[in-house]
Amino acid sequence: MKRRVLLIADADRAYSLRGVLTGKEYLVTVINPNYQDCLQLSSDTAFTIIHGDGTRPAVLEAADARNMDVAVALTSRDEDNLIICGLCKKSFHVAKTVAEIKDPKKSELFYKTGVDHVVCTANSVAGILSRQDLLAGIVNRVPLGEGRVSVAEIPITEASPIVEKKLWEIDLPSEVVVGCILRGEQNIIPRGDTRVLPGDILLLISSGSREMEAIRKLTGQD
Amino acid sequence: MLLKKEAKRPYSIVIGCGSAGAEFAFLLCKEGEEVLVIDREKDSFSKLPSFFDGRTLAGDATYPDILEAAEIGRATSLFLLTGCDNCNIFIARAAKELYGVGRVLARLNDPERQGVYEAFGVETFYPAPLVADSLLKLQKSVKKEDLA
Repeated sequence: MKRRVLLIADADRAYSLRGVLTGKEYLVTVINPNYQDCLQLSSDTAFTIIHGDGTRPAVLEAADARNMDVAVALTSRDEDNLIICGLCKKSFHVAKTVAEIKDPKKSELFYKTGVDHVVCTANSVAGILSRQDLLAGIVNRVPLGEGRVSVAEIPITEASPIVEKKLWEIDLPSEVVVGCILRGEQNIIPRGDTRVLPGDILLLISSGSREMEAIRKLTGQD
Repeated sequence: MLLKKEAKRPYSIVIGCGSAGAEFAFLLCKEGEEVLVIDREKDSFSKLPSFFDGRTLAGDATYPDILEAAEIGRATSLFLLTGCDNCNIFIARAAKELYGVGRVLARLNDPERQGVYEAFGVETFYPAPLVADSLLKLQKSVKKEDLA
Protein backbone atom coordinates (compact mmCIF):
# COMPACT_ATOMS: atom_id res chain seq x y z
CA MET A 1 0.00 0.00 0.00
CA LYS A 2 1.25 3.43 -0.89
CA ARG A 3 1.62 5.88 1.97
CA ARG A 4 -0.55 8.95 1.67
CA VAL A 5 1.34 12.15 2.38
CA LEU A 6 -0.15 15.61 2.75
CA LEU A 7 2.40 18.34 2.10
CA ILE A 8 1.66 21.96 2.94
CA ALA A 9 4.50 23.88 1.37
CA ASP A 10 5.53 26.57 -1.08
CA ALA A 11 6.49 25.56 -4.62
CA ASP A 12 10.25 25.35 -3.97
CA ARG A 13 9.77 23.01 -1.05
CA ALA A 14 7.36 20.84 -2.97
CA TYR A 15 9.81 20.58 -5.89
CA SER A 16 12.71 19.74 -3.59
CA LEU A 17 10.76 16.80 -2.17
CA ARG A 18 9.79 15.49 -5.60
CA GLY A 19 12.71 13.08 -5.68
CA VAL A 20 12.17 11.78 -2.15
CA LEU A 21 8.41 11.32 -2.38
CA THR A 22 8.43 9.21 -5.51
CA GLY A 23 5.31 7.74 -7.04
CA LYS A 24 6.34 4.19 -6.20
CA GLU A 25 5.87 4.47 -2.48
CA TYR A 26 3.89 7.63 -1.85
CA LEU A 27 0.68 9.29 -2.90
CA VAL A 28 1.31 12.98 -2.36
CA THR A 29 -1.17 15.84 -2.08
CA VAL A 30 0.22 19.37 -1.92
CA ILE A 31 -1.66 22.36 -0.52
CA ASN A 32 -0.38 25.71 -1.77
CA PRO A 33 -1.93 29.19 -1.51
CA ASN A 34 -0.48 30.59 -4.75
CA TYR A 35 -2.56 29.83 -7.84
CA GLN A 36 0.29 30.20 -10.37
CA ASP A 37 2.50 27.89 -8.28
CA CYS A 38 -0.31 25.36 -8.18
CA LEU A 39 -0.64 25.36 -11.99
CA GLN A 40 3.11 24.93 -12.35
CA LEU A 41 3.26 22.13 -9.77
CA SER A 42 0.39 20.22 -11.30
CA SER A 43 2.02 20.22 -14.73
CA ASP A 44 5.54 19.39 -13.47
CA THR A 45 4.83 16.76 -10.82
CA ALA A 46 2.70 13.70 -10.21
CA PHE A 47 1.40 15.29 -7.01
CA THR A 48 -2.27 16.09 -6.47
CA ILE A 49 -2.47 19.85 -6.00
CA ILE A 50 -5.01 21.70 -3.87
CA HIS A 51 -5.08 25.48 -4.14
CA GLY A 52 -5.81 27.10 -0.78
CA ASP A 53 -4.76 28.04 2.73
CA GLY A 54 -3.81 24.89 4.66
CA THR A 55 -4.71 26.50 7.99
CA ARG A 56 -8.38 26.40 6.95
CA PRO A 57 -10.26 23.24 7.93
CA ALA A 58 -12.31 23.37 4.69
CA VAL A 59 -9.12 23.24 2.61
CA LEU A 60 -7.73 20.33 4.63
CA GLU A 61 -11.07 18.60 4.15
CA ALA A 62 -10.86 19.17 0.37
CA ALA A 63 -7.36 17.67 0.42
CA ASP A 64 -8.80 14.57 2.10
CA ALA A 65 -6.70 15.08 5.22
CA ARG A 66 -8.82 12.50 7.02
CA ASN A 67 -7.29 9.69 4.96
CA MET A 68 -3.67 10.77 5.15
CA ASP A 69 -0.94 8.77 6.85
CA VAL A 70 1.38 11.72 7.31
CA ALA A 71 0.97 15.50 7.21
CA VAL A 72 4.06 17.66 6.66
CA ALA A 73 3.79 21.43 7.26
CA LEU A 74 6.67 23.36 5.72
CA THR A 75 5.26 26.86 5.31
CA SER A 76 7.50 29.81 6.14
CA ARG A 77 5.34 30.76 9.14
CA ASP A 78 5.79 28.84 12.39
CA GLU A 79 2.29 29.70 13.62
CA ASP A 80 0.71 28.36 10.42
CA ASN A 81 2.67 25.11 10.72
CA LEU A 82 1.47 24.65 14.30
CA ILE A 83 -2.15 25.21 13.30
CA ILE A 84 -1.91 22.90 10.28
CA CYS A 85 -0.43 20.07 12.34
CA GLY A 86 -2.77 20.71 15.26
CA LEU A 87 -5.83 20.55 13.00
CA CYS A 88 -4.55 17.46 11.18
CA LYS A 89 -4.11 15.73 14.54
CA LYS A 90 -7.18 16.93 16.42
CA SER A 91 -9.78 17.31 13.69
CA PHE A 92 -8.61 14.90 11.00
CA HIS A 93 -6.84 12.25 13.11
CA VAL A 94 -3.72 12.05 10.94
CA ALA A 95 -1.40 9.50 12.57
CA LYS A 96 1.87 11.36 12.03
CA THR A 97 2.54 15.09 11.73
CA VAL A 98 5.78 16.86 10.89
CA ALA A 99 6.40 20.61 11.18
CA GLU A 100 9.27 22.86 10.32
CA ILE A 101 10.04 25.73 12.69
CA LYS A 102 12.45 28.64 12.57
CA ASP A 103 12.82 29.38 16.26
CA PRO A 104 14.09 26.33 18.22
CA LYS A 105 12.50 27.71 21.39
CA LYS A 106 9.09 26.94 19.92
CA SER A 107 9.68 23.21 19.65
CA GLU A 108 8.32 22.48 23.15
CA LEU A 109 4.99 24.06 22.22
CA PHE A 110 4.83 21.97 19.04
CA TYR A 111 5.45 18.73 20.88
CA LYS A 112 2.90 19.69 23.56
CA THR A 113 0.34 20.32 20.83
CA GLY A 114 0.86 16.75 19.66
CA VAL A 115 3.13 17.33 16.65
CA ASP A 116 5.21 14.18 16.23
CA HIS A 117 8.34 15.57 14.61
CA VAL A 118 9.75 19.08 14.65
CA VAL A 119 12.43 20.01 12.13
CA CYS A 120 14.54 23.05 12.96
CA THR A 121 17.43 24.23 10.81
CA ALA A 122 18.89 26.36 13.60
CA ASN A 123 19.08 23.32 15.88
CA SER A 124 20.70 21.15 13.22
CA VAL A 125 23.34 23.77 12.45
CA ALA A 126 24.08 24.30 16.14
CA GLY A 127 24.42 20.54 16.61
CA ILE A 128 26.80 20.18 13.69
CA LEU A 129 28.94 23.11 14.82
CA SER A 130 29.28 21.96 18.41
CA ARG A 131 30.14 18.44 17.28
CA GLN A 132 32.66 19.59 14.69
CA ASP A 133 34.75 21.49 17.22
CA LEU A 134 34.85 18.55 19.57
CA LEU A 135 35.09 15.75 17.09
CA ALA A 136 38.12 17.36 15.44
CA GLY A 137 40.27 15.34 17.86
CA ILE A 138 38.35 12.10 17.44
CA VAL A 139 39.46 9.48 14.97
CA ASN A 140 36.11 7.94 14.26
CA ARG A 141 32.48 8.01 15.23
CA VAL A 142 29.79 5.63 14.00
CA PRO A 143 26.09 6.31 14.55
CA LEU A 144 23.95 3.18 14.93
CA GLY A 145 20.23 2.46 15.28
CA GLU A 146 19.04 5.46 13.25
CA GLY A 147 21.51 7.65 15.09
CA ARG A 148 20.13 6.88 18.53
CA VAL A 149 23.31 5.11 19.59
CA SER A 150 26.86 5.88 18.58
CA VAL A 151 30.31 4.44 19.06
CA ALA A 152 33.21 6.91 19.12
CA GLU A 153 36.97 6.40 19.33
CA ILE A 154 38.42 8.79 21.90
CA PRO A 155 42.24 9.11 21.86
CA ILE A 156 43.67 9.81 25.31
CA THR A 157 46.70 12.10 25.52
CA GLU A 158 48.93 13.21 28.42
CA ALA A 159 46.76 16.31 28.63
CA SER A 160 43.55 14.41 29.21
CA PRO A 161 42.08 15.00 32.68
CA ILE A 162 41.38 11.27 33.15
CA VAL A 163 44.90 9.97 32.54
CA GLU A 164 46.02 7.50 35.26
CA LYS A 165 42.48 7.34 36.66
CA LYS A 166 40.55 4.13 37.18
CA LEU A 167 37.31 3.93 35.21
CA TRP A 168 35.14 3.98 38.32
CA GLU A 169 36.77 7.25 39.35
CA ILE A 170 35.51 8.97 36.19
CA ASP A 171 32.12 10.56 36.60
CA LEU A 172 30.37 9.78 33.30
CA PRO A 173 26.69 10.28 32.43
CA SER A 174 24.62 7.12 32.84
CA GLU A 175 23.75 6.88 29.09
CA VAL A 176 27.43 6.43 28.27
CA VAL A 177 29.79 3.52 28.75
CA VAL A 178 33.43 2.80 27.88
CA GLY A 179 33.07 -0.51 26.06
CA CYS A 180 36.65 -1.21 25.10
CA ILE A 181 40.15 0.19 25.46
CA LEU A 182 42.58 -0.14 22.55
CA ARG A 183 46.11 -0.14 23.98
CA GLY A 184 48.81 -0.84 21.42
CA GLU A 185 48.16 -4.36 20.14
CA GLN A 186 45.87 -5.14 23.07
CA ASN A 187 42.06 -4.84 23.17
CA ILE A 188 40.93 -4.55 26.76
CA ILE A 189 37.34 -5.02 27.85
CA PRO A 190 37.60 -2.71 30.83
CA ARG A 191 36.38 -3.17 34.38
CA GLY A 192 35.85 -0.50 36.98
CA ASP A 193 39.41 -0.81 38.22
CA THR A 194 41.04 -0.59 34.77
CA ARG A 195 43.40 2.37 34.66
CA VAL A 196 43.41 4.75 31.64
CA LEU A 197 46.88 5.40 30.22
CA PRO A 198 48.14 8.01 27.76
CA GLY A 199 48.01 6.62 24.21
CA ASP A 200 44.88 4.58 24.96
CA ILE A 201 41.95 4.79 22.60
CA LEU A 202 38.61 4.48 24.39
CA LEU A 203 35.61 3.11 22.53
CA LEU A 204 32.75 5.13 23.91
CA ILE A 205 29.22 3.79 23.43
CA SER A 206 26.52 6.41 23.93
CA SER A 207 22.77 6.46 23.78
CA GLY A 208 20.87 9.68 24.25
CA SER A 209 22.06 13.22 24.15
CA ARG A 210 24.92 13.27 26.67
CA GLU A 211 27.68 11.97 24.41
CA MET A 212 29.29 15.38 23.92
CA GLU A 213 29.31 15.99 27.67
CA ALA A 214 31.12 12.66 28.15
CA ILE A 215 33.64 13.41 25.39
CA ARG A 216 34.41 16.76 27.00
CA LYS A 217 35.07 15.03 30.32
CA LEU A 218 37.35 12.44 28.74
CA THR A 219 39.37 14.77 26.53
CA GLY A 220 39.29 17.93 28.62
CA GLN A 221 38.31 19.96 25.57
CA ASP A 222 35.60 22.60 25.79
CA MET B 1 -0.77 47.72 53.86
CA LEU B 2 -0.11 49.56 50.62
CA LEU B 3 2.50 46.97 49.62
CA LYS B 4 0.00 44.16 49.98
CA LYS B 5 -2.46 45.97 47.74
CA GLU B 6 0.28 46.52 45.16
CA ALA B 7 1.13 42.81 45.05
CA LYS B 8 -2.44 41.85 44.26
CA ARG B 9 -2.75 44.26 41.34
CA PRO B 10 -3.74 42.29 38.23
CA TYR B 11 -1.27 42.21 35.36
CA SER B 12 -2.77 42.19 31.86
CA ILE B 13 -0.91 41.83 28.60
CA VAL B 14 -2.54 43.16 25.44
CA ILE B 15 -1.06 41.93 22.17
CA GLY B 16 -1.81 43.95 19.06
CA CYS B 17 -1.89 47.73 19.33
CA GLY B 18 -4.48 48.57 16.69
CA SER B 19 -7.24 51.05 17.48
CA ALA B 20 -9.13 48.49 19.59
CA GLY B 21 -6.01 47.23 21.39
CA ALA B 22 -4.84 50.74 22.22
CA GLU B 23 -8.25 51.81 23.50
CA PHE B 24 -8.68 48.66 25.57
CA ALA B 25 -5.20 48.91 27.09
CA PHE B 26 -5.94 52.47 28.10
CA LEU B 27 -9.25 51.49 29.74
CA LEU B 28 -7.57 48.61 31.64
CA CYS B 29 -4.99 51.08 32.94
CA LYS B 30 -7.73 53.40 34.13
CA GLU B 31 -9.23 50.43 36.01
CA GLY B 32 -6.00 50.29 37.97
CA GLU B 33 -4.47 47.22 36.31
CA GLU B 34 -0.83 46.86 35.44
CA VAL B 35 -0.81 46.81 31.62
CA LEU B 36 1.75 45.91 28.97
CA VAL B 37 1.02 46.34 25.26
CA ILE B 38 3.00 44.34 22.69
CA ASP B 39 3.06 45.07 18.97
CA ARG B 40 5.39 44.11 16.13
CA GLU B 41 5.49 47.72 14.93
CA LYS B 42 6.85 50.34 17.28
CA ASP B 43 4.88 53.02 15.42
CA SER B 44 1.61 51.40 16.50
CA PHE B 45 2.11 52.70 20.02
CA SER B 46 1.34 56.21 18.75
CA LYS B 47 -2.31 55.14 18.93
CA LEU B 48 -2.06 55.06 22.73
CA PRO B 49 -3.07 58.29 24.48
CA SER B 50 -0.10 60.40 25.61
CA PHE B 51 -1.12 59.95 29.24
CA PHE B 52 -1.27 56.13 29.01
CA ASP B 53 0.78 54.96 31.99
CA GLY B 54 1.17 51.27 31.11
CA ARG B 55 4.26 49.85 29.40
CA THR B 56 4.91 48.96 25.77
CA LEU B 57 7.11 46.32 24.14
CA ALA B 58 7.93 46.18 20.42
CA GLY B 59 8.36 42.65 19.09
CA ASP B 60 6.76 39.57 17.56
CA ALA B 61 4.90 37.84 20.37
CA THR B 62 4.88 34.48 18.57
CA TYR B 63 8.52 34.24 19.74
CA PRO B 64 8.95 32.86 23.27
CA ASP B 65 11.78 35.35 23.86
CA ILE B 66 9.35 38.24 23.54
CA LEU B 67 6.75 36.58 25.78
CA GLU B 68 9.43 35.99 28.40
CA ALA B 69 10.60 39.60 28.15
CA ALA B 70 6.97 40.50 28.90
CA GLU B 71 7.17 38.35 32.06
CA ILE B 72 4.16 36.43 30.81
CA GLY B 73 4.55 33.95 33.67
CA ARG B 74 3.09 36.42 36.13
CA ALA B 75 0.33 37.72 33.82
CA THR B 76 -3.19 37.26 35.17
CA SER B 77 -4.86 37.89 31.80
CA LEU B 78 -3.80 37.89 28.17
CA PHE B 79 -5.77 39.63 25.43
CA LEU B 80 -5.00 38.80 21.82
CA LEU B 81 -6.05 41.56 19.44
CA THR B 82 -3.76 41.02 16.46
CA GLY B 83 -5.32 40.99 13.01
CA CYS B 84 -3.94 37.51 12.37
CA ASP B 85 -6.10 34.67 13.68
CA ASN B 86 -3.32 32.10 13.33
CA CYS B 87 -0.99 34.32 15.37
CA ASN B 88 -3.67 34.75 18.03
CA ILE B 89 -4.15 31.00 18.30
CA PHE B 90 -0.41 30.31 18.37
CA ILE B 91 0.25 32.84 21.14
CA ALA B 92 -2.78 31.65 23.11
CA ARG B 93 -1.51 28.06 23.05
CA ALA B 94 1.98 29.16 24.06
CA ALA B 95 0.59 31.24 26.95
CA LYS B 96 -1.45 28.32 28.27
CA GLU B 97 0.90 25.40 27.58
CA LEU B 98 4.26 26.97 28.35
CA TYR B 99 3.50 29.71 30.84
CA GLY B 100 0.24 28.66 32.51
CA VAL B 101 -1.65 31.90 31.96
CA GLY B 102 -5.14 31.38 33.40
CA ARG B 103 -7.25 33.76 31.37
CA VAL B 104 -6.68 34.10 27.63
CA LEU B 105 -9.16 35.84 25.34
CA ALA B 106 -8.68 36.40 21.60
CA ARG B 107 -10.45 38.59 19.10
CA LEU B 108 -11.87 36.55 16.26
CA ASN B 109 -11.10 38.35 12.98
CA ASP B 110 -12.47 35.93 10.41
CA PRO B 111 -15.64 34.17 11.64
CA GLU B 112 -14.82 31.19 9.42
CA ARG B 113 -11.94 30.46 11.80
CA GLN B 114 -14.14 30.12 14.87
CA GLY B 115 -13.87 26.34 14.55
CA VAL B 116 -10.07 26.51 14.55
CA TYR B 117 -10.04 28.50 17.78
CA GLU B 118 -12.38 25.90 19.24
CA ALA B 119 -10.17 23.02 18.11
CA PHE B 120 -7.31 24.64 20.00
CA GLY B 121 -9.45 25.49 23.03
CA VAL B 122 -9.08 29.26 22.74
CA GLU B 123 -11.90 31.50 23.93
CA THR B 124 -12.87 34.19 21.42
CA PHE B 125 -14.61 37.50 21.24
CA TYR B 126 -16.20 38.62 17.94
CA PRO B 127 -16.74 42.38 17.70
CA ALA B 128 -18.62 42.68 14.38
CA PRO B 129 -22.13 42.18 15.87
CA LEU B 130 -21.41 44.90 18.45
CA VAL B 131 -20.36 47.33 15.73
CA ALA B 132 -23.49 46.48 13.75
CA ASP B 133 -25.62 46.93 16.85
CA SER B 134 -24.16 50.37 17.55
CA LEU B 135 -24.74 51.40 13.96
CA LEU B 136 -28.32 50.21 14.09
CA LYS B 137 -28.95 52.22 17.26
CA LEU B 138 -27.52 55.29 15.57
CA GLN B 139 -29.73 54.72 12.58
CA LYS B 140 -32.81 54.29 14.79
CA SER B 141 -32.00 57.49 16.69
CA VAL B 142 -32.42 59.47 13.50
CA LYS B 143 -35.98 60.63 13.04
CA LYS B 144 -37.78 58.87 10.22
CA GLU B 145 -38.77 62.23 8.71
CA ASP B 146 -35.11 63.22 8.37
CA LEU B 147 -34.39 60.12 6.32
CA ALA B 148 -37.22 60.64 3.91
